[in-house]
Amino acid sequence: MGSGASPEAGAEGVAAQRRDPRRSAVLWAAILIVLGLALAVGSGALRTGGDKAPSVYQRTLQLAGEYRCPVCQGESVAASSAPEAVEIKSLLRSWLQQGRSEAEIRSYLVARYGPSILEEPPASGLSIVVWALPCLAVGLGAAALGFGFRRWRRAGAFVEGPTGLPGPPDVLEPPTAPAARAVPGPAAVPHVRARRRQQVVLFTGVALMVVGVGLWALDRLSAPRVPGGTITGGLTGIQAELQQASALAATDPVAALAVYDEVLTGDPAQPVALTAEGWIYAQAGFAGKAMGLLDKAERADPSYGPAHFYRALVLLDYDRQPGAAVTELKWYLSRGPDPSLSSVARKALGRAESEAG
Amino acid sequence: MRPTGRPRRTVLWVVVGTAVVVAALIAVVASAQPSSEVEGKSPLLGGPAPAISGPGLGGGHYSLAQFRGRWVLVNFMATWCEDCQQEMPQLMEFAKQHARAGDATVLTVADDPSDVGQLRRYLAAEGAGWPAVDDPVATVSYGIQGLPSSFLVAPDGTVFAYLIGEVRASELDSWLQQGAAKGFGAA
Amino acid sequence: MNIALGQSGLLLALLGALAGAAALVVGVARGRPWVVRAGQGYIWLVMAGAVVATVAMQRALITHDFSLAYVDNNDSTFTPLIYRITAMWSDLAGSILLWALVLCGYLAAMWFRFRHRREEPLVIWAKITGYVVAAFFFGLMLAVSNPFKRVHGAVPTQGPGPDPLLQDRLLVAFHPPLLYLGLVGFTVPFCLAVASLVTGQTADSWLAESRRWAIFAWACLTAGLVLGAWWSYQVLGWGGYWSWDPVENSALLPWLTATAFLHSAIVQQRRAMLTVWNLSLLLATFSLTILGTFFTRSGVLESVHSFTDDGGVGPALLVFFGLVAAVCIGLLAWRGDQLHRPGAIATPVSREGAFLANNFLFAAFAFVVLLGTVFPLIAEAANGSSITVGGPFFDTMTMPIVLCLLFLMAVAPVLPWRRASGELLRQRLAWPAAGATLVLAACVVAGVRGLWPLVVFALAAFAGGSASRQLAILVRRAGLGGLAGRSGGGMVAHLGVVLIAVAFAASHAYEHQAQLTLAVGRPATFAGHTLVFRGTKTVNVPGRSSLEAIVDLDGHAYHPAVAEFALSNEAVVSPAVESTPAQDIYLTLASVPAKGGAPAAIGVIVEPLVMWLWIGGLVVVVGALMSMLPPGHRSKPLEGLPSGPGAVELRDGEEVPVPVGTAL
Repeated sequence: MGSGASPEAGAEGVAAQRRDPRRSAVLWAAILIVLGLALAVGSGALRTGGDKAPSVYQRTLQLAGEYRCPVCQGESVAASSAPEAVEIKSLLRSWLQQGRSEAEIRSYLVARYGPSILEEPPASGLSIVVWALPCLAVGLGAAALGFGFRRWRRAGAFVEGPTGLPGPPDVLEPPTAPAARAVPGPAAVPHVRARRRQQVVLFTGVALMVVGVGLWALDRLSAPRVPGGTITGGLTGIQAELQQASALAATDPVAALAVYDEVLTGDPAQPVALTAEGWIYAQAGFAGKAMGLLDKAERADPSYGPAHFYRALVLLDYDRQPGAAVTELKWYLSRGPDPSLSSVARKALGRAESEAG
Repeated sequence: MRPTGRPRRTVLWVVVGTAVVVAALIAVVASAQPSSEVEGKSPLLGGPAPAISGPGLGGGHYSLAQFRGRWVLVNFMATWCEDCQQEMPQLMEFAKQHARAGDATVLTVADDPSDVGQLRRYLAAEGAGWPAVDDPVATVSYGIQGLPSSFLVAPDGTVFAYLIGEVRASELDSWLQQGAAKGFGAA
Repeated sequence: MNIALGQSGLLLALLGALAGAAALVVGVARGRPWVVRAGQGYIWLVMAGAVVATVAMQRALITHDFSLAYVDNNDSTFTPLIYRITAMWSDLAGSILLWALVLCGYLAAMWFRFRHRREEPLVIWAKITGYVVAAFFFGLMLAVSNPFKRVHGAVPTQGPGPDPLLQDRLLVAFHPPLLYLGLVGFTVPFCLAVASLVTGQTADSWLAESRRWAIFAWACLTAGLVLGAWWSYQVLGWGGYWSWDPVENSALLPWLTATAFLHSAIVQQRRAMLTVWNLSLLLATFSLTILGTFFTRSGVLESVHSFTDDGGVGPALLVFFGLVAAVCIGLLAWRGDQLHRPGAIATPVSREGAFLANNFLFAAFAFVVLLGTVFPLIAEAANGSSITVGGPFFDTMTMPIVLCLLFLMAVAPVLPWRRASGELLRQRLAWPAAGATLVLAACVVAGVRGLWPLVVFALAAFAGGSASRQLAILVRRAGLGGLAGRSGGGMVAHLGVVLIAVAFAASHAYEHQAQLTLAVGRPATFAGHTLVFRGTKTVNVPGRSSLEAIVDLDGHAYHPAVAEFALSNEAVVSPAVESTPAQDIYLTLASVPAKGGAPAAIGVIVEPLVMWLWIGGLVVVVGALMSMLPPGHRSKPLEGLPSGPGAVELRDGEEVPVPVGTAL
């Protein structure tokens, strides 16, 4: 087969063959075990903790990717910067913050735009065809290939065409100890083969346990993924804390205040934190403290809308100054208000105007 | 091996099958209209018109509900949309015709929040006397897929017609007549 | 003057092509050699016509000759010179002119290549086919979409310039020409395939010839696709580079069938099988380029990349596609079964079996992409419902195919021809598999999570290890020269695909986005990076005014901007990207601050490993070009062993048997 069959090579070859299958089997067993475990851990099938929930913005973008931009040429809502797409994104964000489910959102949008708003065709009606047809085609193709192989095998496997090249050995590959093939090795003897198989299985079982425990321990011991420090990234710093606090504000205002205080020790003029704290205090009844914080927020960043909005509400409901409230609310509404707050702002404006007389 | 005498026909059958598929593909594609000319069908037709409310471009506050009892042509537009500017004379005509009777009005909705200032100036320059409102949520709740888009809302608040592209005053009048025939007279 | 020159150039080319085709057909049918010789000479008329028309168009664009409607729509006095030159292919009519020019170039190359075989019927039929295709494109320009149409009325003094998105980057000078070099390049193998079928000659030497042309076109198409993705990434502003858009799919479909062909051609060369299948693949590739051109230019499918419809081009292209399909189907039905050669693939576990599986998977891939692209039209025709088939569908359906292809890429290079044993496979794949396991374990330990990306990484490492093993063997045998040639080039191309697969998986699965409202001077952190917004700046250049935000990212200044072009209503989002091998940070100016000093909303997208997509694309193209080089000769003997029976030597890409006993 292309290499000389010298006696030295033969003896070596026999020994090599005796070592090779066991080594090879062990190696492959180890490979498969490690692969399986790594995939199990990596896919999250084994819960390892330390996973962060995605931020609202991430969830909004992921949801936006499921809808087609209605006025663009073939872009998704997530990809597009058209005004309608931006509006849909801000609505998605406020709906997700309000806790609506994705199914509710989908039925709302489909009710307005029709099923063509969905990027993925629904799996019902005619669209089943586009999902099922490729699977059917692949199945049919595989069946056809199977029939072809069977017919070829039945026809006599090595029927050779007239001009086919004689099928040389692959010149690139190193010689695979062909000399050994000439000498019937120990593997030819049946009971020796069976014993070796048992050894392999036993070794595999032990190796499985050892490697599995080792990998699990390794994963447990490795630090939880630090946001921003690893390939998976995440929201960090002030943004993360503000997010966390705003999520807490509804259920546990005291804890939220603690987080905001922490933000403010780092950055005493952070307008978002100042406004949020002011509103929490206002709702708890501390109107004076609330006004102080909200004034500070407005001074820190005059263009931060919610500061004006909440200040107006405090002026209206706690300070009995509807005129000033009207000014603030009008300013807020003219500056592109947050969709979740705009209706409240308008109602408040109505009330303030009527109270101001 | 194949029994002798019968010539091999595999390729022929496969090719015939492919020919059928390709012919079907060409037929489907040939019957397709360019996507820019596809007729719009709104899922909102026949149902209650979604709410619109927001600050008026010229001041004040408007909502769709306050026009109950009249036909309302809810017209979404922006100044950067050339077709919207081209249909403006037709809208003026329609508004003028019905201004006296008071049975129909136009309600312009700004499609693009960053265009609001320019839209206000444009409408003032054109002398459009009807209300114009800034409600970005309405572009989503009405399912706007292109500009100009208009919805004809009957006096009882249901969506009567969906008009995509430039509208003509005569077309609008014929819609109103259809509505009258169906009993949607002014309340 | 430019109009007259251009029109006459087009007319000359059309008449030359028609006359050439007619002459050759008559000459071959009636056996008149001098008619054949004359017919072959008309190619120079066609070439001259194309060159004259191109020169006329370029002259009109560069000198602002607004008497041409095309120049009026696509040029302006503000446009820089380079964008005036590229304006020739910025719009529909001009792009057909570019297509025709590239086609003439390829036809001339074909004439030159076969200059010593002019008398052979196969060559003559190939030339006839070439003439007919050229005649169609020139006829299309003259009849339906003429780039040299005159403006109505007075000659304007100003135009709007090319589409703003096409004036933003210099890539507009590279992507379309490369894409056309790729797509049009498949015309020559098509001509050879048609000629093969007509004359009934399917000698393997013609297949080798077709493969050589196909691989060059494939390399250009790959480069065109990768550059197109890079361009979209830099310009469209959403941080993505492939959205399964109908125009993108149109260019991908011929690429898929061509890749299948490049692999199954190897089976034909080695085992003299799959002749008819290879011919069908070549015919399908060309047909798909015409279908793709139709989708891009007819407007039946919405796309951000499509040309605005001129009216009339769509139906003409569809009719041509129908004609081409009819001719291909007719030829295959007539000759297909006659040309079938007996041969058998004994077992799927063999190199032939792997190539067969490869073709099956690529055919499935192409089927999914075609079905998804066309399905909205089918749904509309069937019951009037309007359905979108967007990116998520294609991602879901093609993922299993890509995983199987990665696995095949790992296993196939080590499979011997005819028959493999499990033991052989285990031995040869041990190192690549061990490498893949180590890579996977390292990823998991480093904190990477997510089943599908990890599977992709593991399979990609497996394939990469297998390809590297082959390259190592080649180098050991024949030194660095051994890397040239089909094996080496192919393995390098596989490495490039591995890089692309890894980058695709990583950038999709692990991207993080946020929209940060940044007040001036106040730092914010995201994903481990610090951003400081320093303010905005307006930059005015003739014809273009952009509002730039100055953002300090980790100390370096970036300028995401929103640009407006004179005489156009569109505002173009111009992102700023920091590219490092580990990740790309993509900044956009999401909303313009209301007044100076107000906070701005800056969109930040962090995507890992995006740079490796472009590097991987380059590696694939390099591999393809390497495989076109003649293989290096062995410099070291095969360990001093004398050759046994059946040993062969690689010489000029052909395997030549070596007599028994020769020291190799």
